Amino acid sequence: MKTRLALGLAGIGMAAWGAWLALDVPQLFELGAWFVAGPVIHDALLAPVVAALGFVVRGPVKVGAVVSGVLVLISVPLLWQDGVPANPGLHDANYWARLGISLGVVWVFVLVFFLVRNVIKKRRAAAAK
Amino acid sequence: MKLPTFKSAAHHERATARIGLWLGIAFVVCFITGLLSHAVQHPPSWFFWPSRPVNLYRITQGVHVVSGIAAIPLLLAKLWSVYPKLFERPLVRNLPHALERGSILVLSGAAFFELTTGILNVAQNYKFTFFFPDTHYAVAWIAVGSIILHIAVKLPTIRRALTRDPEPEIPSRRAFLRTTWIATGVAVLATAGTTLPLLRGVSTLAWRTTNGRQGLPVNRTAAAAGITRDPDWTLQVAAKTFTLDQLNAMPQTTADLPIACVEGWSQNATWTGVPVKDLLTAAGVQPGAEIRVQSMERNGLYRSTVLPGEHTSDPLTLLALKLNGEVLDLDHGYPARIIAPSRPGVLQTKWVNRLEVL
Repeated sequence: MKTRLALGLAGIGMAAWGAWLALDVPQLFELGAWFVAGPVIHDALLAPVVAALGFVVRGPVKVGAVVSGVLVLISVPLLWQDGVPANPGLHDANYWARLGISLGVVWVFVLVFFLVRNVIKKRRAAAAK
Repeated sequence: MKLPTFKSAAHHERATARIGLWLGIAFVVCFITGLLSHAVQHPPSWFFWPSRPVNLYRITQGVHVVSGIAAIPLLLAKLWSVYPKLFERPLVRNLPHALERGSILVLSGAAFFELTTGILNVAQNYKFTFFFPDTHYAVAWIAVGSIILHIAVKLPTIRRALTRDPEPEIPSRRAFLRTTWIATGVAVLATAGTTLPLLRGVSTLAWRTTNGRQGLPVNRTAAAAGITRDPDWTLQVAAKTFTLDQLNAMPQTTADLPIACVEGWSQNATWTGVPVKDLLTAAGVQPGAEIRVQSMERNGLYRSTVLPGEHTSDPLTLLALKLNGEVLDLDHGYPARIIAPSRPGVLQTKWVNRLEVL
């Protein structure tokens, strides 16, 4: 119980310090909006979509879909580039093509997994005869 | 309205706790490396940052950004695991329960804020108008503070959930955890090549590319900084003035040093120039003195930086005139720039024209 109390107080102290620092940010309203946007978008939009997807797909396809979703999410800042300064050597590749290749690789893995599993199943069935 | 029911083993506390453990580790690693980077850029009087190994900042900041990327799928999986709790009724049972729910909203808000602003910043993609370093730093304290509070509240559950279960693992829970680890691994593989040479050819979503000038990315171009070639350029070191010809005539040092950016990308290069140590000695200043480096840039955020004594006495801290065997490109700071070991890229001042002793 002492450990929990000490941890809890330390956590509250750190968070309060962060909040105190955040109060100095001139665009406090915008900061607050970004702060709340994450949980709201996740809970009301992303999670229900993922839940619906979970009913539709199973097994390796589900894994492929989850991995694809994560890749799409982390590529958004590289794809949606309006207003970004042009700096040679930084974020200046064709990221649509690169995302396409990445997703292609993911689904080739899913396909290979299915093929290998089929072969193993057939061999087992043959051996059992 | 009928509330949804969740039967999947993904929502079991054993799955939640295991993902939570790794998410917690990712955030704490991010926090510590982030504090280090903050302290290097705004050193408190008690802080000391060594100039060796030369790759030290490259490693700490690479770890910062890679663990942040890993935290993205981990956070999503963690929230999916506890998603049913959102629909628990009554919404609030009593005051401690209300505070606990409130603290989780703060935790989730702060965690999303840190990961979103972080991944936008590495792509230099400012979809917000607030100043990234200040806000990312402040909210980091909120995120880690509320994580520690959350651990304090949940400690009995965490202990129970992380102790070995005598019953065999449920296949669907194992599948959920496996998917989480795979997604995390793929996210890291897709981006870590931005700093890890080993993954250069693998990381399709790395923000560092090979299109840089003289084999090195440019974080701020001469055009953006309003810099043009100045034939009358001179360098002032304390009270002494050097021309470019004089600098080129001095003994040169060639060293392999990385540019390691706060945005997590890093790139090794071969630099040639005059050690700052020798310049100070030539100007009658004892190496080891703290100096202010001034750029020709008129209004950049990093037009003036302070080079600590630890770095001015290191023979590898160079006023570089050449990069990979060629005269510095204007975008890399022609005629002269600072390149010091184990420093954030933004402090490797370009277009230098003055070194002042502090």
